[in-house]
Amino acid sequence: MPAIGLGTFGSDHVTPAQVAAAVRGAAQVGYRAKNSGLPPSCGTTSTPNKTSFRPAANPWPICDSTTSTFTWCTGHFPTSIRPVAM
Amino acid sequence: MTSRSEHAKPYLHESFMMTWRKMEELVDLGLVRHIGTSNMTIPKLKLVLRDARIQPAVNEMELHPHFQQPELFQYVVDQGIQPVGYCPIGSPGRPERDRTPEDTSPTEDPVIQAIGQAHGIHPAVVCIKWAVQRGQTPIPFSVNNYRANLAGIVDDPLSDDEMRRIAGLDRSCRLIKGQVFLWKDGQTWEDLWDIHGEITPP
Repeated sequence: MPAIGLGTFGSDHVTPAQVAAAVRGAAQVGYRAKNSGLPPSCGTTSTPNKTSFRPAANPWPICDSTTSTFTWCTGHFPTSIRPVAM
Repeated sequence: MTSRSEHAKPYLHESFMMTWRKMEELVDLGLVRHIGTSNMTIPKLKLVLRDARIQPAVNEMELHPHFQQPELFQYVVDQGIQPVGYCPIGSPGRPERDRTPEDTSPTEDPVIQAIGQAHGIHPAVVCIKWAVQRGQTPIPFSVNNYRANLAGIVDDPLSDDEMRRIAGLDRSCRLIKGQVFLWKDGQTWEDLWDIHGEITPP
């Protein structure tokens, strides 16, 4: 378990591009973990713009790393854990 | 005050475990290495630990010097679960909807500031050092200062005395109260957190 992770659950005054740049920069300075506010399933979040982070923040450049993600409590359904086609 | 989410629902253990079973499958399939929980309370976590085939590896929870959650933290650690702490510096950039007049800011705490001055570091880095040395995994969000946050945990640790002084700063000040997840009218945010030791009835 890494001692520290880069939080990527942004705030409403930071753009997806800024978050993506921070993820890349953090990986370059040695971070090996990020904690993502990105739900694995879309459509059940309370923050509509959250899914817009997905394409930008996903290209984690270091393979030896830990990414954690979650589903909101509003999305606790068996069907929201794993898409059918995967 | 933000209105409630139309998808908000109470914690129903049987329903939660149906979701947890699918997460256990992700481990079986090798799609993820670990599964975990977040924002659990002790009574909810007790049920999950009783019924889970694969135990949570982590529990993500709000943790900073003004909200140390000593009881839940110790319970989680005693169960062999790694605490992951969100809002480790008090989330100074959190949205307006998550602010109330009673909120306090750990980075403005005179003790945190004095320790920061003694080390020549920003008060935020004091919070990060404290988190790591206490044994939780902080996940600070930063687009500019992530380098300082990382550097802060690899050198110049806080002394035992400084750790003790920060332990004394707890104000039970929950910043992310979760009002949006209240599931019916007439509730207050405390209902989400089982503060009396029992799961709030649906």
